[in-house]
Amino acid sequence: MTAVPAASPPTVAIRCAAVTKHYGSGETRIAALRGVDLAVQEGGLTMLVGPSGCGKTTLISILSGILSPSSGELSVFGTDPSRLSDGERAEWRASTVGFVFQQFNLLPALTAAENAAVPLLIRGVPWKQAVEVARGHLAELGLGERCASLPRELSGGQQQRVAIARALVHDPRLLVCDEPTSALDHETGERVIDVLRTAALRSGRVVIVVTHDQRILRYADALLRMDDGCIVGDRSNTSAAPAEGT
Amino acid sequence: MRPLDHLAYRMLIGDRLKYLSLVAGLVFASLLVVQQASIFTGYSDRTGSWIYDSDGHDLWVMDEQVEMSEDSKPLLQTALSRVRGIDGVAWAVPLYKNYLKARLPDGKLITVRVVGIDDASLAGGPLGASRESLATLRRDQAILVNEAQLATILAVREADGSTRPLAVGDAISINEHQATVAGTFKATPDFFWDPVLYTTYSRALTMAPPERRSTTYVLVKAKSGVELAGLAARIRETTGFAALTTEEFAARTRTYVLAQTGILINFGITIVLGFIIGILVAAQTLYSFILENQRALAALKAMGVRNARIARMVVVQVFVVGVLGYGIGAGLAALSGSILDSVGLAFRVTWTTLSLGLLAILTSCLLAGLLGVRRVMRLDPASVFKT
Ligand SMILES: Nc1ncnc2c1ncn2[C@@H]1O[C@H](COP(=O)(O)OP(=O)(O)OP(=O)(O)O)[C@@H](O)[C@H]1O
Ligand SMILES: [Mg+2]
Repeated sequence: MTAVPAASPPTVAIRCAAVTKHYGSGETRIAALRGVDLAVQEGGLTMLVGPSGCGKTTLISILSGILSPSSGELSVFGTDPSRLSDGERAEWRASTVGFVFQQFNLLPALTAAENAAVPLLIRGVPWKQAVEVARGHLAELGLGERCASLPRELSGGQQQRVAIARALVHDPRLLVCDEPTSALDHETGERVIDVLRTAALRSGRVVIVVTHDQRILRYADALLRMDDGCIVGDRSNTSAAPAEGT
Repeated sequence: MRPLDHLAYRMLIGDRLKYLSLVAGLVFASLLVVQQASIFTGYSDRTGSWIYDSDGHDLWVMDEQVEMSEDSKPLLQTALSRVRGIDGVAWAVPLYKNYLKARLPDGKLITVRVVGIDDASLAGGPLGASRESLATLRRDQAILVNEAQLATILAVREADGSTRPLAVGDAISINEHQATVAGTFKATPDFFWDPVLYTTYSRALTMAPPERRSTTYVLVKAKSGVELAGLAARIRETTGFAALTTEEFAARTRTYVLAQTGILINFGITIVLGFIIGILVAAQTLYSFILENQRALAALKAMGVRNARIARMVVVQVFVVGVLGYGIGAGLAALSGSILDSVGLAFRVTWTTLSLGLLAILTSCLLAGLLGVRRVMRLDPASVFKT
């Protein structure tokens, strides 16, 4: 087993060594991760690509403290979330991680602004103040006019942007996104990635985006390729498109 | 309100249809529970009406085996003098009470409760009789009848088929003895339905079939300053009779009636059924509400809401619908009560009913909510990444 080096350079925010994850046991045991080693730098947009079923979602679930690895070493901003108690891990997620889910998972009874405000509410920010901040983020994502709409009144792309506003609203150090642009048209998708990248470039931030969308790969600062539970390619993209877009 | 509690509230009221059916289920349950419990209280109160309506004394002395006001086990006439001799007794008078047959002026035969009160003092007479009315008992053959029953159970059918209320001056024969309606009294509506007729003790004895034992109760007034419990104990020791205060006698009667009749069980069943139906509706709605929000709740968990906070959110939701539903339901019950009351049905809302009802409704909603919460707690936050 490879140990995490004691003195990691300050720019490395996330480090995995020999991380494995299997589901089930016995005959039905599935190895989703078979020994993942990786290092993710601060201040960039990392994209995670690979064929369906290769373990991308499993990996980001582990990095974001939703799942615990079966074995291996893990450090996210100096913390191994899998070593925290359930309560501590929940608290850690609330303060450290922003999520964009494949299914937007918006609360159907809440308006766009209220939905986007949820992470702030979880952290105890008063309702009005939280919704106000959320409105700002929605406006940034081009949804300023739809703050009072319910999710069912929004298109899929608009719902996804609400979900992204929700992921950014509490300014988390780690943002994990599973297919954030798949439901968006090209122009909207680029705009969304632009926002994600702006967030990523702030110092100390890490944004990991799982995607199949070839069109947005050029925005990646780093690209991780996965296959069959392993990282098979790790490339820093020095020629990433500028944050403002082209 | 804490931000997440506010969130819980918004989630709740955001789904109008669910919210309304939740509240409606609870309104229904609360209405039934409070209404039936209040009718029950009303009826159980009424078992003591005659006892409370009897005026002037402190203790009821009776055979120790008497189980309620309608159960006469008369004492020997010597009981009176034995009680009179006990220390602390200011005065004691006999009272006769028995079920007899009475024939109304139109020939109709009914069962009546004849109460004979002390000839000299008229103690034990109905609270609701005016002084003049009570005094008419000193006239020959006089009886007093319940004013409210003149036009109902005591109404007289005329030869032409019409009916008229029984009136002062009408003759009634009681157990083949002539009596004349001399006056009326007001009475608290009574659980027992046979009309009460008041007359004097000695006249009651002439009406009654000859018996060796003819003193149903000895009514006792304590000397001022004498402690009733002590006096009752002395009477019990000296004579072997039971001596009960009005409250105690009413309670004994109530307990007996509730235990011996199906009333308690009947109302109990209605209350429990209404309760169960309402709670099932509420529980089912609450549960499906939680199921429908499952993904979103799992997302909340992924975003760092602990199980305990999720549970708290459900408690907030339960509390809002519970209090609202109960408030409306209990309000409607009170409203229906004033209507029932005006048509003469027994109905009394007590604070005990109200608080126990609220407690029961909230507890069962909480249980229903916690069933749903258990599901949410077992939700895998990782499921949020699934399609
Ligand atoms: N809860 C689970 N129980 C059992 N097996 C699982 C579970 N979740 C994922 N798997 C399996 O683990 C493997 C990796 O799954 P994962 O969801 O991480 O893949 P993915 O790369 O995200 O795929 P996709 O691109 O289709 O979303 C797959 O073979 C999947 O079937
Ligand atoms: Mg996936």
